[in-house]
Amino acid sequence: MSVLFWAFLAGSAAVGFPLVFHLIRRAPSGHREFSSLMFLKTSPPRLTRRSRLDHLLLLFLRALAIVLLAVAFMRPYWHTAEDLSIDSVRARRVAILLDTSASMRRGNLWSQAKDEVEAVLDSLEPVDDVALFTFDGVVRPMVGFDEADKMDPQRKAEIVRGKLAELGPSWAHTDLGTALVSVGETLDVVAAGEDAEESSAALQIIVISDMQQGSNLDTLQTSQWPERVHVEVRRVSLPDNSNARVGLIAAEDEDVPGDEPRVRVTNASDSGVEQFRVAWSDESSRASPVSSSTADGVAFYVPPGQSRAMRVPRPAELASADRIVLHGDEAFFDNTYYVVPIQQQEARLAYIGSDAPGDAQGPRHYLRSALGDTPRRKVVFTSYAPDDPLPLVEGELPHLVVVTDEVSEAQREALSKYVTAGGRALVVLSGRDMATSLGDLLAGVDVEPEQERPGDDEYAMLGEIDFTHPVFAPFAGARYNDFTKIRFWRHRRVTIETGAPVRLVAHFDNDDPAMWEQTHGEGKVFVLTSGWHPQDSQLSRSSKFVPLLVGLLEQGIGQPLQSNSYVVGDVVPLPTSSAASDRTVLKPDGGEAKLSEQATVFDGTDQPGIYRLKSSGDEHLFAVNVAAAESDTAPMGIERLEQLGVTLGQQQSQSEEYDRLRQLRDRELEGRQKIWKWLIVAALCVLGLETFLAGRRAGQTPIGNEEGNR
Amino acid sequence: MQTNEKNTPATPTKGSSFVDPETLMRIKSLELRAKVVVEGFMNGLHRSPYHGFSVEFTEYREYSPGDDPRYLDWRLFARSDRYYIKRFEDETNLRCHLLLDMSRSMGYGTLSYNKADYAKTVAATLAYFLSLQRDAVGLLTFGETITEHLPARYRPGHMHRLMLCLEHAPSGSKTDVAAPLERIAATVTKRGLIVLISDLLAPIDTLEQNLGHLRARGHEVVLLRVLDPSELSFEFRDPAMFRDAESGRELYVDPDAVRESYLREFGEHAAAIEATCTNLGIDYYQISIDRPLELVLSDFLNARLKRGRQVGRRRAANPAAAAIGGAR
Repeated sequence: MSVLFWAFLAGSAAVGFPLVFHLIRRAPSGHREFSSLMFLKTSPPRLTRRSRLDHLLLLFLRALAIVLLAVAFMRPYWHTAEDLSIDSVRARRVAILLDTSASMRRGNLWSQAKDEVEAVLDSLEPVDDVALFTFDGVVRPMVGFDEADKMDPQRKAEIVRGKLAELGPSWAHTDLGTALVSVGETLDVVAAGEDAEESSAALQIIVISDMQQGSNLDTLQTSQWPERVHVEVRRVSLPDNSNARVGLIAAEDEDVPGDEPRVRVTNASDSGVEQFRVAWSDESSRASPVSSSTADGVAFYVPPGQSRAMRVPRPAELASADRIVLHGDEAFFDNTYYVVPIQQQEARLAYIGSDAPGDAQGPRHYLRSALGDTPRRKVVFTSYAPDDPLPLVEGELPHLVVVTDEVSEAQREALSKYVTAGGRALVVLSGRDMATSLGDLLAGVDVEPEQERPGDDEYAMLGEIDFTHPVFAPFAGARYNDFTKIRFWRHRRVTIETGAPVRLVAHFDNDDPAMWEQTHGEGKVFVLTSGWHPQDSQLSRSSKFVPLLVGLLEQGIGQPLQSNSYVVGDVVPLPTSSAASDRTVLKPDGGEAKLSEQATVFDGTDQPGIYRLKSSGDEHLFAVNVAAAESDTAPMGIERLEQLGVTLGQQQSQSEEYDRLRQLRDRELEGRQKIWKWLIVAALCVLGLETFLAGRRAGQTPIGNEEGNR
Repeated sequence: MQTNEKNTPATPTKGSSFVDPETLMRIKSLELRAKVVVEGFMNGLHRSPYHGFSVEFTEYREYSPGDDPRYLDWRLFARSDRYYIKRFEDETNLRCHLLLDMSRSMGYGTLSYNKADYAKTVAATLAYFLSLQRDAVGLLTFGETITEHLPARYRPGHMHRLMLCLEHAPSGSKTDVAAPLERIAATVTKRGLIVLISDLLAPIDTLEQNLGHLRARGHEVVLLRVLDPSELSFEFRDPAMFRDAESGRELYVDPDAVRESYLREFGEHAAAIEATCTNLGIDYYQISIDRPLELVLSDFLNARLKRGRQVGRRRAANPAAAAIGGAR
C-alpha cells in the first residue's frame, strides 16, 4: 500500500488535540459574578497527570477519527501487479547544434561555447543518445546518431569531446534556419524509424550560439517544424556587443574608372563605440596595419545602429592596396574588406564591310554603338573595306571578326587562317555572292538566290532557339526568352547539307535557319541569315541586341568572372571559356586548390581574402569577404524562433520522465480504487459512535460530578 | 479609635437572643427592620442610656450685628434692655451623616441578601437609633457620583424620608469614595459624626487624603466596611470566568490556583485601609454581612462608650451622649 501525499501525514499530529483536551483538568464551568477582580489574576488551564486520563474509549475513538481523516487525505492506494520499470521509459536523443560562424570569433565566445557543450555532455544520462552538429552557412554532422548507436554510451561523450577539441569557428555566415530544419528533420527521421520498434525517444536540439540578429531564419518560414522536436537555446554572450563593419559600395557602370571609391561603415545597434577610422592597406602592411602612409585614413563618426558612407581616396603610394581596414572596432573579424581593383579588358573587333561609319542603314553603325567602352571592357574597333588587306598578325589578333559583305581573295585566306587557328568570326549573310566569296568557311551551305523583298506585312520571327548554346544561354530565363517581338523583314534562304559541321542555333518560324555555328579547324564561324540593320530586321532596336553581340564577342575573348566580390561560403561560377586542364585557385593563406576539367564552379571560399584563379597563363582575381549579415551581432530574441513555429523547451530526462509516469500511474490507481471515500465513511462512523457514547455517559454522570474531565 | 477584631463571619449560636440577619432581611420594610434591631437592643439594656437627653438652653451671647434676630431673647431684653442671643442645646447635639456606598460591587452577595441590603439596614438602624436620641441624621448615597443627599435634620417626618431614600436608593456603577467625602467636607461646616458604609473595593490612593481632610475639620469619622463572607475567604471550588460586577471585565480564574494570592492581596489592601484609619484616628470596623446587626450595633456603641468615657473624664458629659458624640 502506498499514498499520494505524504505531507498529510502531519495531520495525524492533530491526535494531540483530543489528548490535550482529555488532560485539561477543568474547563470553566460557566460565568460567575464577583464584586471585584482587583485581587485576582488569570490562571492558565491546568493539565492533569497522565495517570488521570479518563474516558479512554472516547479518547481512542476521537484519535481514531482524526487518524482516519489524515489517512484519507493522504489518498492511499494498493499497488497492483503492473509495475513500471525505468527501462520501459523512453530515453532522449540530444542533438547539440554548435554555432561555428565568424561572429563566434569575438572575445571568448568560442571557449564559452565549448564550456556549454561540456555542460550538456555532463548533464546527459547514460541512456541518452547524443550527436554533435556544427553550423555556419552549412550544417556538418560531427558525431551522428548512427555512429553513436554502435558505441558504448559512456564513450559517446568522449567522442564528442574529441571532435570538439578539433573544431574552431569558421569565417562563414550564420544560417540558423537551415541548420535547425536540417537537424530537426534528421532527428524526426531517426525517431520515425524507431517508432515501429519501440517507444520513440524524446527529441531535443540544444543550440549553442551567440544568437546574433544576422542569423538567417528564412528556411524556417518555408518549412513545417516537427512538433515533437524541442529546441533549447543556450546563448553565449559578451558583456560588450560593440561591432562595426566596413564595406565598399559597389561601383556602377557609369562610375568613371579610377574614381575615389565609396566606403560604408555600419555600426551595430548596441555598440558602445562611435568613432572609427578607415584606411586602405595592402598585403605588405598587413603586419602593421597602420603604416605611416595610411595612418591618417578617413575618420568616421557612426552612431550605434546607423551607417555612414564616405569616399576614401586610395593613396597614390599604395597602388597595390587591395583591402580597406577599419580601426577602432574591437571585434576584428569583419574589420577588413578585400577589394579587387577593377581592370579594364581590351576587346579587339575587326569589321569587314562596305558601309560608311555614320550610315544608319548599314550594320556597322549599330555594331559600333552597341559595343561601347565600359569600366570592365575597352573595345578597339578596326574597320576594313572589302578590298583592304587584312593584317591579322600574331599577338594582335582580333577577338572577333565581323563580316557583312563580300571579301576579297586575300581577305578570305587571312580569315580562313585566322579561324582555323582558333579565331571567331561572325558572318552576316547579305547574298549568294558573299557566301561564294567566303569559300570553304561556309562549307556545306548553299545560299539560294535573292528574292524580292516581301511586303511590309510579311515578316518572319525567330521560331525555335537553342537556349543551351552559350550565346543564347543568358536568355534562357522565362522573362527573357521571348524573341517574337523582333520582326525580320528579309533573310537569306539557305540549304545546309547533311553532314556539314554545323550546329543550328535558331530557326525562323518558317523553318528557315536563322543562325548557326560552323566549326572550322580550331575556330568557329557564326552565321546570321539576316542582319540587324533596319533593312533586314528590327533586331538592332531590340533590348536583346547588345547582350547577343556581347555573347558573341565573349566567344572570342573568353568569359570573365561574373563578379569579383563574393562572401565566404559562396560558390564561384567559373568562366566557361576558361575550361582547361590546369586550373588552380590560390587561396589567401597560400593554399592551392586544383580544379577538375569538368568543374564549372569553385566552392572552396572558406576564408576572407583575395583569391587567384589561374588557367593557362590567364589570371582572374576575386575577393571574398565575411558576409554583411554576420556583422549584425546584436542579440536576437529567442521568441522569434517561437514565432516561426519552432517548439522551444526542454525534454525531460529518462529519470524525470520515469518520476512523472510513476506519479501519473499512482494517481490513476488511486483514482480507480478511491480508498479515501471508505476512510471518510469509517471516520464518520467512529464519530457517530463517539457522539453516542459521550451522550450516554453524560446522561449517567451526576450533575455535581460533571466537571473535571473534559 | 476602635477596631472590630471579629472579622471572620460570626453565625449566631442557637438560642441566641439576636435576630438572625437572614430572618431580619426578610422583613421588607427598612424602617421596621431598624426598629426590630434597635428595640431588641434596647430590651437587652436594663437602663436606657438615652433618658434625660433633651434640647436645652445653654448660654447667652451678646448680640452682634449679623446675628439672626430670630434667636434674640426678648424677655431678657425687656428685663435688661440688652440684646442677647440664646444659644440652644441643638448646637451641641450630634449631627450624624451616613455615607452609604451603593455601587454595583455592593450588590454582590452569596447569601440570600447582598451587601447593599445589609448596609442599608445598618444605616437605617443607626439612623433610627440616633433619631431616638434626637440627633440630627443626614444621608448621602453614592456610587460613581453622588446620587442622593439628605441634609442632617431632626424634625418630624425626616426619619420617614430618610428611610424612603434608603429603600429606593438607586445603585451606581463604580465605587468612588473621594467624591462624597469631598462633598461632605465642602457642605458640612459644623463638626459631626460621619459614618462611611462601604466595601471599599477600590484603589485607596486618595482615601487617606480625603479622610484626613475631614478629620482636620474636626469631624468624627467611622468607617464600616461591609463584606460578603466569600470575599473574605474566597472559598470557591470550580474554575470559571469571573465577571467584575463594576467593570464587567471577565477573567478565567481557577480558585485553587489563585486563592492564596487573592487572600494575600486582599489582606494587604485591608491592612492598608486599617493603617490609614489608625493614622488618622478613625474608627474602622470590618463587618461580614452574616453577622447579627445587634452585635454590630452593640460593638459600635460599646466602642463609642469607651471612647466617650475617655473624653467624659474631662467633660463629665452624659455617658450615652458621650458614647455617640464623644469625639466632638
